[in-house]
Amino acid sequence: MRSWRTGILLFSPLLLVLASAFIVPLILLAPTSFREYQPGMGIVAGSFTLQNYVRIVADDFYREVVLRTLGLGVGVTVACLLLGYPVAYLIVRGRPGWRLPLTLLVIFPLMLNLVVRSFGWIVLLTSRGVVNNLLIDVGLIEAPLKLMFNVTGVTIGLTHIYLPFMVLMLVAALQNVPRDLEAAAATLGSSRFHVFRAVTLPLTAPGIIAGSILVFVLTISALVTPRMLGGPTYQVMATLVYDEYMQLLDWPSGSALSFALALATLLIIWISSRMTRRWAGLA
Amino acid sequence: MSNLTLDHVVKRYSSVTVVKDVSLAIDEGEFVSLLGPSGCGKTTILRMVAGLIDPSGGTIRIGDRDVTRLPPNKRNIGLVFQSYALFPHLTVHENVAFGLRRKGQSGAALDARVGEALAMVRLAGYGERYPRQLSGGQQQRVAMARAIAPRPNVLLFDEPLSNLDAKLRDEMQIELKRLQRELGITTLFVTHDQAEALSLSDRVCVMQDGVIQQFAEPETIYRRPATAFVASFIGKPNRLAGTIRGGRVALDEQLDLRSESDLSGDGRPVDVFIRQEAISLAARGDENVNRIAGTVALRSFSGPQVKYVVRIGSDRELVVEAPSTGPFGDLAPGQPVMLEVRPQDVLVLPREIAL
Repeated sequence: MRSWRTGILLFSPLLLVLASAFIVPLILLAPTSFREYQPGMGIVAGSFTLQNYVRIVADDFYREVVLRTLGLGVGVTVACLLLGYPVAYLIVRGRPGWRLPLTLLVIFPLMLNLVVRSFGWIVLLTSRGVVNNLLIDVGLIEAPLKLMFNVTGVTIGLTHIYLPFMVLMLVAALQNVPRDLEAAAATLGSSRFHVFRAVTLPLTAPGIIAGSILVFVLTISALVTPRMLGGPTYQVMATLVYDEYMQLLDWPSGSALSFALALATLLIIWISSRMTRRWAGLA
Repeated sequence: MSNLTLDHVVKRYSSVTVVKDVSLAIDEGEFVSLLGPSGCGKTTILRMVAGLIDPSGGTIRIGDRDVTRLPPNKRNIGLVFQSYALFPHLTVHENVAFGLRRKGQSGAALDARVGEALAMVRLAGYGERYPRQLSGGQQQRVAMARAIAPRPNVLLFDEPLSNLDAKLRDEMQIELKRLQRELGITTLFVTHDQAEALSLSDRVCVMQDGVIQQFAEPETIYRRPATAFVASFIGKPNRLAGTIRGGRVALDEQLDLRSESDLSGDGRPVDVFIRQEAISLAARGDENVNRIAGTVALRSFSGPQVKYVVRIGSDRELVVEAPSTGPFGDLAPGQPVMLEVRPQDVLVLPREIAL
């Protein structure tokens, strides 16, 4: 009984903030998503329709945006995982003297404003940007590559932004793998690669999954970077929600899309947490 | 099965040398303990034999094979860790099978070998459990089964029993000894527990500060310690400063003792070690024995044993142990006593600078 009360007391400040800034607006938004919207007229009062939700799966345009968003999420997550694991491994298993500088290096991008970082990528990736000019000067390509306003640019930008989260999650996971376990595998005849595959990797699975969920969820709900590096035509769910609210004033459709996004996120977290339990065998 | 040889092995970490020129030859099938206080380099030696630490110099041989530069997976060794280091994501069966699979075993032959190893540590039928479902002692036995299953040339133990409670530790000691005898695998056992080392080993290697102090049979280590460090580390010794005087060792002007140690060199300063358990309060009626008169200064009761601090000579003290059920179980402070010590129990060693 007492631990229950203590728990609630400890949780209540956060609960209060979440309730006022997140849950209440969400509940207010729910009825809006079932209203009809008429261009030029606005929200039709007292109407009820499922059309806003049906459209997300039925309409080609919406469906494409949803699939693109999920695809982007998978792409960025995989990129962060592949780039982040070696870094995390180096931080945890490398020389102790490198740990702090490497960690700072990983965290450093987080200290810069998101918009600044996205502008940085624009400078690098535009058709007359640093990367294209360099490649042309070296003679590897003749015409500039299209690195921006498409999936490439957005993936690069988001991977850069969310990599620190992935690395930090993986560092925590790797630190929980006792070195004795790896040593034990080695004395039992495992090569270094087999030690990694049979011991380190499965034991860091919870961290891999947690980091992947985090990056995936952040990616599919990202607004600023897709807008800046994707341009006005490369739409993902978050930019579409923004446009429907701010440009088209189609609040019902925007709300429905928001709920769909939230639902997808919850679904993914639920599936992954089940997977963690199965994989790691450490329920 | 093979013998294990360390030849002038050195380990340096930038400015500190933790293992200083250690040479050690362990016979085939022999059980050798590395005994010493923490930081004496014993675990470093074990890890160098396992290939987990690279030696800075010297060679390590298993059988006639020079393994100094081989990675751990090419050495065919079994290592049991203090932390057990069982794979938490694998069942007991898969833990034990791990090394066998690396050797290319599979199917019924593998299952048979795993079953055999688990039966040896008396854990048959536990194969499908996960390590977290086992007690500490059971986990330790799985770790042993895992190490012996691939039939290694050398078994290494890194303080395997120090995480267990005292009662379980006694049981596991016997288990371990039995297992090693049955298998006849050359074994190197690292411990800081002298009773463990003395009771388990064929030979004990006492280490201090990266140097071997004495490498001998347990009885020799106990009865004839080679250095003052060994004498002070093994058993519960009283340590007194003395001087050689006319074929005896003098503790002060009035008090001198007979000893079977080297008493040459008149006037030489020495350290005298007399174990608590070697001092008798009862008169043994032996002419040759040393008799020391003293007064009880303090009594400390600890169940089966009573300890007395006895003041002797002008300002010396000896700690004496007596069974609490015996005739000397309840001497009161201030009571005069006559202590008897046999000459072979008076260990005289060259004086060392303060330890």
